[in-house]
Amino acid sequence: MSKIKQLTCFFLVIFILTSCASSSNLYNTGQIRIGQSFQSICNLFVDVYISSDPCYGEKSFFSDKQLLLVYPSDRSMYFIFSEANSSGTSGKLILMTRSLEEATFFISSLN
Amino acid sequence: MRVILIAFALLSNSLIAQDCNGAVNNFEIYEDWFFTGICNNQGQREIGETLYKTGDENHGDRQVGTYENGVFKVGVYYWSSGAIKLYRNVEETYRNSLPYDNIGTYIWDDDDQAWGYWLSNNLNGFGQIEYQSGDIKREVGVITLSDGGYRLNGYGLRVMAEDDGHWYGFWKDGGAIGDVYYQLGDKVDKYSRISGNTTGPFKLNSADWDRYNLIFEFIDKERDQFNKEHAKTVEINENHDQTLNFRLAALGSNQANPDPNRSSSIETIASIQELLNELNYSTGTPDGILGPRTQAAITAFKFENDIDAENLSNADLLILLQLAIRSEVNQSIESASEVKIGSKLVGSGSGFYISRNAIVTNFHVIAECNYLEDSNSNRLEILAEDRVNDLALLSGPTTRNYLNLSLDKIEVGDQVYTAGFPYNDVIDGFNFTDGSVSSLFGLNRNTSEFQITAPIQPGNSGGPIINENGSVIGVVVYRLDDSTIADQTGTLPQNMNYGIKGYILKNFADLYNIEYVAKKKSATMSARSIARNAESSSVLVKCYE
Repeated sequence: MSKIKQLTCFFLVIFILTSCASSSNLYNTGQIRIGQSFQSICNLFVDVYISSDPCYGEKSFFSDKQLLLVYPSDRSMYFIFSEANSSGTSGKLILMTRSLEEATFFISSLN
Repeated sequence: MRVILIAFALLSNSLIAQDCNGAVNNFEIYEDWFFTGICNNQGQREIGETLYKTGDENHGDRQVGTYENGVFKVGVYYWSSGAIKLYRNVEETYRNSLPYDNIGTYIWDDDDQAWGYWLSNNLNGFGQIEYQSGDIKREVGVITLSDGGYRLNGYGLRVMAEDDGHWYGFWKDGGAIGDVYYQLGDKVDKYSRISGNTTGPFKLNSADWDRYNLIFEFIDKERDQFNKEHAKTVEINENHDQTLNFRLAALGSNQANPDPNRSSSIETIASIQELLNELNYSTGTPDGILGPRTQAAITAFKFENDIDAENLSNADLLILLQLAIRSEVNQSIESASEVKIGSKLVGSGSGFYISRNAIVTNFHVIAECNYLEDSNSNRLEILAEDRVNDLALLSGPTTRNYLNLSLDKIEVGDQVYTAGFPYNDVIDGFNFTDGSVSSLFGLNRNTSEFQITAPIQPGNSGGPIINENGSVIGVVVYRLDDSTIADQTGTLPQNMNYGIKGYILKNFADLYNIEYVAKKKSATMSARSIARNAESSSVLVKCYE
């Protein structure tokens, strides 16, 4: 009986550990595509750690260009959405980059 | 990394010359600054050359060009060290969030070269630096002065000298940050540079390809824009020398301080320019100024004639050019007297280079010809014929512009472009059209041919069919004859144009040991870039009976 309990606990721990997937899988497997909507990208990050979830991170809205910059609190990736709204809940992905410098350069270069 | 350490006498050009009026020669306009040219009626320099003689940090330098309200506008600055810069001043403005106030090209005294957008004397925006030595061959992208040198700071490309590998990425102070793409031949890998650590290689996913294309297109677009801007500068620079000569002659110079040595040197350089132009190395209008274009023409002449001498004097160069002209004239007399005299131009077709001197065309373009030449009257000779597949290989003058052959299978729907010289007697020029692959077969299910929708006309025969990567996928061969089909069916055919498949061409070239470059799919090129490559690689094939 105690063996069954031990095994159950073991699988429970494994389940808890693996249920929060790494965000790098999302980036490397190509599940995120340019042109995707803000909402569909947020849906992909449901299972990742909150610190890696851009939809729970920082947001900046550039009203003159209708651009939205979002990034997770661990700053592992920066996402730029066009046609965004000021509340930062919509838009179409136009760039995904690992550097804030590139994100700001990209935004400032867009006419 | 390069940086211009030499002081640049741009900022002090607005000085008003009180006594300068009309045409002057070696006129001391301001403390050891000597001006030859035209001043306006407010005493301001308008067009001409300023020589910074002594007692100034710019001494020995000179500046040739036009002025607006006494402020230098367009022209060339020659440093006494040997460095030169051809540029055009503009009102300070921003591009890619960086300010610039002049656009131009700069050649260091060791022949490294830079072009782009400048803020005063420093590159500050999109540009390119070409290195003659060191690990890096070329950097192109957003370049600024940082950390004591010119460095990529924005989107850019670094080309390595050792293997011609191309690094595309976003750069900060010359170092790639984030994901960076390494292209070697047709292969592209991703590396990640985070906090100074590099990992990889990785395969590119779809978002990576999008970003890679974004960087590629950014460079392409900015380069196109710069080329347009620079073309304006070159045109104004060429015109102002003519204007200056004309106006000096009309007004009469005051001959205050004639300098016989300088005028003799100008004459020699003007003669060099004339001979280079005659040999088809373009220097623009001969003006006696050793500008970037003339220097480039001299370098090209030396390269193509295997002349190694680095310190060749102008007089020696003039002699070598005279000998080259003489040898070329002799050759053309020989070939003309052998074959062309009495020949009649009976038609023309198109062709394209697939190596430095091998040209592909259709057999039917050359079948009835006794003599062949290109648009510059260079003789073309037949290397090989394939009557069954309607192909021919010709040899022509050596070029550096040739098209790669594609290694990819074609598919219905693929975007294609055709290039050539249709209706040459009427249109008289290069023509470029686009369309798509509409069938993988030719007429009567001929599997060595395919059908395209890109318009072709008589004279296009033998021209390349190019995919969106800029590689050749076929050779234009024929289109359905409108009147015959109309007679037979009562309807006019539309877009029934055919090409010979690329693999037939590859087999043909292999059979005759003609070298060519074959490439698998890489980055998509803009139509404009493809057109430019196609134009420089295409040949008008003129047929004489």
